[in-house]
Amino acid sequence: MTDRILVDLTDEELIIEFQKNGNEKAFEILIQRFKNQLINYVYRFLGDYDSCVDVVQEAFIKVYRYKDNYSSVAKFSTWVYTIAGNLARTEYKRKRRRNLFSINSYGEENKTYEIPDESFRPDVAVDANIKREIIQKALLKIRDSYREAVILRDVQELSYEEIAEILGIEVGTVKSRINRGRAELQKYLKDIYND
Amino acid sequence: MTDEEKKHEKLISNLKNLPKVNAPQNFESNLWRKINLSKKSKQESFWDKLLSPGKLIPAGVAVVAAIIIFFVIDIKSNQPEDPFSLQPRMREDIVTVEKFEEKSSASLKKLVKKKDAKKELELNKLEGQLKSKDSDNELMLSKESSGFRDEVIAEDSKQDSLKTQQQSATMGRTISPTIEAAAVPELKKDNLNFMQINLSAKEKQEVERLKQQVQAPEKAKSE
Repeated sequence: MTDRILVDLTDEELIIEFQKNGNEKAFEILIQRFKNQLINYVYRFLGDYDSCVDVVQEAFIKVYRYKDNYSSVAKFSTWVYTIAGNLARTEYKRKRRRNLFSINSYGEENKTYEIPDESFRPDVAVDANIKREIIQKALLKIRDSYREAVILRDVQELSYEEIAEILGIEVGTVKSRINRGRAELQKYLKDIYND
Repeated sequence: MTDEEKKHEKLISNLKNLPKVNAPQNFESNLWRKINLSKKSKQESFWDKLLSPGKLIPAGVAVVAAIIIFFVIDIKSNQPEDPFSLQPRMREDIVTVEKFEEKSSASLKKLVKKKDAKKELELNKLEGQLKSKDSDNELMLSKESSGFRDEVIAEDSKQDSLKTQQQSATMGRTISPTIEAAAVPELKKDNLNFMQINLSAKEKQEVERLKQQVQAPEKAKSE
């Protein structure tokens, strides 16, 4: 199958092509399509760029190794999001155990915000940058289950059904988690929205 | 847009406008390198991994430990026991008590035998004492008058009776009737007659004569 034809295939067709024929070109196209989406999702979840790159690479390695586990019933995007989400959750727990995060009690006495490496950020405006950093820190403060739901809905802009499939929960549960997550975020970002 | 979304409209728009984070340029090359590394590690056969010394030694230790545990631990003990089908356990404390009783009875028999021997010795001593007293009485009779003699004899008899009473009392406490019966035949009635007086030949003749005088009218009457 030529490269031009492969590019025209859907995600599901590409993974099936990779499954049945072991066509690594199909896998490469899938990487091209999903690497930035997944990096963005995992970065918002972990708040650490290096870790998020490792996690997404690990997710693609799992897709490569366990390609036969994919069934054509599910969407490839939800499958790969699920793998990346599980790995991100594991990494977040591991990091929390090691106490690598230096997030102070935001919105209280010590308002010290760590500004990460900006090389991959297109923002120029300093105020906007700080505001985004505050939002990111606030995201990291809410409960894991709320955070992933809010990121998938408001940052990745996925549908409730897709989120329910990725997280393996009911749509109603997804909605309630998103609402609770937003409420918590609002509480932490009280100072920003009062201005 | 729902009411909840309207409520958090500003927050949602801020989240949507967060800058999109992209993968680094060397993302794919690093990914393929990792994939190839994982392929190599996968290609290493199971037997190669198992027979490597790093795993063979702990595996051997584990097998030896398992064998030891298998022979030491009774597997049957894990089976649930029906308390109603079990024989009642022997109480060791009761068994020891029985043994104690056996031992005590044996020791008691030994003690009784020892006591018997002691009592025989005591009785022999008593007999010897009595004989010596008999000889003393003879001497007394030959030397002193009848009044004095009676007093001495009465005193001696009292002492002897007290002794015999004490002996019989102590024997009654400790010795069984069979043991008493065995001891009694050795005592003769004659030996216990403390009033017996040995008379001289003249005195005996006089006594005989007096007896004949007394018995003569009785014989005549009977005839």
